[in-house]
Amino acid sequence: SNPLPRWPLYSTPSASHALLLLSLSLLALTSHQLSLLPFLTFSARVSFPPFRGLKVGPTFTARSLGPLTVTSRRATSARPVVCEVQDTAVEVPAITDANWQSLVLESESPVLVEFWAPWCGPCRMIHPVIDELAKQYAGKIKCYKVNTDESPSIATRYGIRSIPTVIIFKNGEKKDTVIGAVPKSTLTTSIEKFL
Amino acid sequence: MMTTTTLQVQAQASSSFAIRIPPSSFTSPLTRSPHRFVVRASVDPSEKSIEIMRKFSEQYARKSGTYFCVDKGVTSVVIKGLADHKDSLGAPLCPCRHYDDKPAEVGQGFWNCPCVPMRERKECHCMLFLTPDNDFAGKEQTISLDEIRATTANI
Repeated sequence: SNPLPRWPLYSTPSASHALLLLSLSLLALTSHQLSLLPFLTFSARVSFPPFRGLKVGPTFTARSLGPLTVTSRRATSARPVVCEVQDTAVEVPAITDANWQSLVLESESPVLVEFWAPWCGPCRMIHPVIDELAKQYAGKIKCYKVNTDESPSIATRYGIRSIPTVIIFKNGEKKDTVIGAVPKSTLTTSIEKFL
Repeated sequence: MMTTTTLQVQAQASSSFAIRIPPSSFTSPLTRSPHRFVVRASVDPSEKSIEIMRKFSEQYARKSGTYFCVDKGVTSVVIKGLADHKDSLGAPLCPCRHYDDKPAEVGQGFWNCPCVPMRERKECHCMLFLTPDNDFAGKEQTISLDEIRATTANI
């Protein structure tokens, strides 16, 4: 007789054993991000939540090969799994032609726009500076980024040549332009003039 | 629960949690993660072009007596940018400029790397070739393919 509880969905002993093995191996993992643990109960119905990925920390990938062996591989890199672009999207949104008019020209507060390009080295250096400025002056100015490859019309319209360029807008007009990978102090000096 | 979509930066790895039960016809709801996608700033240029521009950068730095940036990530990104333009336009146009008409600029040649400002005044606003007096200049005139890959892996 089968000692394990009966699972109507899995009719064969090998499947039951495999799931047991799976559950045990998952329980053995010490990663605290595994929110699947509470779901691994020996109930009649076993349902796994959709795997949405982990917030932060090493990645957990599980693959099934042939007769149900589970392998887990932790990413050895110390970098967080979440892409930095996500932080950018939350802190400093990207602007395109579609929302340029409403977000920049019709904004009531001063707007700082960074024009960047994917393969521009110095742009990488000032991205974190812009993020910091967005946090520091939150509520006082709005910060946006424009990818000049994706929105060339905006870049051409304001005569952008060298990248990175930071332009400060107030009341829909271009007020100040800062060209190149400048230190944070240069940008704060410019911003303070328009607050 | 997460409030924002998680973007997983892994080049080719899949993050699906798949369990296959051989004899049963039941399929796990997790055979495919609905959120498996990769975010990259842009598609990588070809390996060949990257190698060509890497060699060119090393050779030109030696020849002009300039050095790479302390942050090799900057150097790598610019090298990839040059490779990308070489792939798409046939010539390594400066990646740190905005152009209205790229093919015309290539024909004109002012901004083909090494650009005129670099050739005449050793001014490289891409921070690829830095004169020794520059605050960001490192001590190296070499960069390996591994370094390029490592420092641009999260793009």
